[in-house]
Amino acid sequence: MAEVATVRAKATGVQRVKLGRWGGPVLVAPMAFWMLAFFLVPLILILVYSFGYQGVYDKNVNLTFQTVISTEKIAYSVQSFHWYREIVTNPIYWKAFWRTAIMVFGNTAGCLLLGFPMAYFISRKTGRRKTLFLLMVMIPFWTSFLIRTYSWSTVLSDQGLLNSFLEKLGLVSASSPLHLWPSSTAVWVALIYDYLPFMVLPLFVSIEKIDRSLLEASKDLGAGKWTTFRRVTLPLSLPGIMAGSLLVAIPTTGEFVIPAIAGGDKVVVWGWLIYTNFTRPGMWPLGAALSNILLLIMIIVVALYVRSVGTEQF
Amino acid sequence: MAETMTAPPQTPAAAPAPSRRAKVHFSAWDRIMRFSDIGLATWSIVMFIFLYLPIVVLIIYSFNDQKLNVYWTHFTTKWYWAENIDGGKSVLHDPDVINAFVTSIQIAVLSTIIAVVIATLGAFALERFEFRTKMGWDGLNYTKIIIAEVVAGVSTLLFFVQLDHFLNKYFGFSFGGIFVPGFYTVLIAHVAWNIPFAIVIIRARLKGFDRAIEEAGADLYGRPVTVFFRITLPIIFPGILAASLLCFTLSFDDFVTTFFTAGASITTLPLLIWSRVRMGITPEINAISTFMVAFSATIIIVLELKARVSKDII
Repeated sequence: MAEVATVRAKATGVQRVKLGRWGGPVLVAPMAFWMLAFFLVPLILILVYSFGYQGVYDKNVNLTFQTVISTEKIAYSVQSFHWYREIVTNPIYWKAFWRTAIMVFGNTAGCLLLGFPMAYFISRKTGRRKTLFLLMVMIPFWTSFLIRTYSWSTVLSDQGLLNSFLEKLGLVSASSPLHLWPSSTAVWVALIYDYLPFMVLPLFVSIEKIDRSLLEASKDLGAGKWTTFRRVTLPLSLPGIMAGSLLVAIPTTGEFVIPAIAGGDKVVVWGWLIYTNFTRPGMWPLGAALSNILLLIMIIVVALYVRSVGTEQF
Repeated sequence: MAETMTAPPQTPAAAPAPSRRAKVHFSAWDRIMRFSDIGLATWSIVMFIFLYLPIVVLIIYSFNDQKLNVYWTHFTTKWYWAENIDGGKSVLHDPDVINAFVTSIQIAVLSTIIAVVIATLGAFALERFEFRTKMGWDGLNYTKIIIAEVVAGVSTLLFFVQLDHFLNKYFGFSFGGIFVPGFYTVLIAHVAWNIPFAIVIIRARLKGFDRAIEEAGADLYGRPVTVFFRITLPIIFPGILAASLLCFTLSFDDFVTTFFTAGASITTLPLLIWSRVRMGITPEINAISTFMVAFSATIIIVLELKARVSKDII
C-alpha cells in the first residue's frame, strides 16, 4: 500500500503533497474566520461587558472598573461584579431561575413521555408509512417557533376553538370563557408542542437501531412485554433519550418567544429577562450578565453530557 | 424471517416451564402491555393530531370570512389578495408585508449563498484533511448548533454595536456603517447561524463517498483542483443543494437572531409577525403565517423525500 501511495504521489506531482499539508487550514480558513469573528469573539465580548456600565442614552457599554460619581449616571454606575451581585441578591432573579429550571425539566420530561411511544410507533413502521410519519415530525421540526406558538391562540383564546367547543357542551358560558390565552398553561402547552419533534427524532433514530432479534430473544426467555421494554428496549434507547433531552433542555433554558407570546409577558423566565433587558436602554450589561450565567450553566451541562456519553450522538 | 427462526418448541416436555415463568415474570404491567400495540397506535395518532391541530385551525381561519376568529362563516381568500377590506388590508396589498417579504428573501438568498460556499470548503477541509485545529472547529460548530439562540443573538448585537463604536472612535471610519444594526448585521449573523448546519449536511455527503473515484482522477493525472471540480463537486452536489434549501428555510424563518441584530431600520416577515401578534389575533396574520408554513413545509418535504436530511442532522 505504501508503494502505491508513493507512486501516486510521484505521478500527481508536488501540488498534491502541498495541498495535503496546507489544504486543510486554507480551506477551513473562511469558516474559521466567520465562526471566530461572529460567534466566539462576541461570546468573549459579552463576558467582558457584563462587568461594565452603560448610560441610559448611551448605546455603548463603557468599561470602567472605578466608581462613577456623576449623579446623572449614579443608577448605572458600577464596578465589576455589580450586576452579578444584583442578580444573586434580588429575589426576582432567583424566582426566575427556579421557574426556568422547572420549565426545563418539565418540558424535557413531558416531551420524553409524550414522544417515546410516538418514536417507538414510527420505528416499527416500514416503507412509505415510515417516510410519511417521519415527514410529519420533520415539518414541525423545521417550522418557525414563532408561528407554531402563535397558532395555539386560535385554539386557546377566549373565542378560540376550545372555548366554543366547551360552550357547545354547555360547560362554559360565552360571557365567561376560560381565560387560557395568554396564561402559564398556554406556555406549557406551547413549550411541549414546539419541542416535541426535537425529542422524537433522536429517539426514533436510536430505537430504530435496536436489533429486533434481541426483543425476540427476550420473549423466548419468558419475559413479558413490560420486562422486555424495561430491560432491553429502554437501556438500548438510552443514547436517543440523552440526545433528545439535550436537544430539548438546552434551548429551553434561553426560551423567550414562548413565554412572551403564550404567557403575555407575565411568565418571567431567564431567557425573557435577557430579552427584556436588551430592549431597555441602559440595561444591556445586566442582560449580558444574565446571558453569561445561562451560558455557564449550558457549558456545564454539555460538558457533563459529553463526559458521560461522548460526542458520537451528535 | 425472525418469526420462523424463533418459534418456541411446542413439546410436552417444555409444558411445565411456561406456567412457572408466568408466575415469575408476568407482572401486572406485563398484562397491561399486552394491549400495547393498540395503545401505541392510539397514542401516536393522538399526538400527531396534537402536532397539527393548531396549525390546521390557523390555516382554516385564514380562509374565514370574519374579522374575529369566532365562528366559521364561509370560505374566502380576501385576507390574501382582496383589494379592499373594510378596516384592514389583505396580505398582497399591505406595503409593510411586501417590504418585509422582500427583505426576508434578500437576506435568506444572500446568507444561503455565502454560508454554503464557506461551508463546502470547510466541510471538505474537516472531512478530508488532518490538521491540528480540526477538533476545535468541530467543537465550535456543534456549540453554535446546540447553544440557546438568545445567547448568540444578544452577544452578536453587543459585538456589532461595539465594533461600530470602536471603528469610528479609533479609525474614524466604519465601512459606511455596515455594523450599525440593520441589513448587513442580520446577514452576517444569519451566515454564522447557517454555516454549522450546512457543514453537517455536506460532510455527511462526503463521508458516504467512494474515494476510489477521486483517486482514479488523480491517477489519470488530474490536478487536485481539477479532481475537485470535475469529480468531487458533482458527486456532493445533491448535498450542497440540500444544505442550501435548509439554510434558506432556517434564515427565512429565523426570529431570535434577526430580532437582536436587526435594529429599528429593517423588518423581516417573522419580525413583522412578532410585532403584530402582540397587538392581537387577526386573519391577516393567519394568512401570512399560513403562507410561511406552506413555504417551509414545501421545502422540507422536498428535502426529506429527495435528500433524507433527517439522517444527516440527527
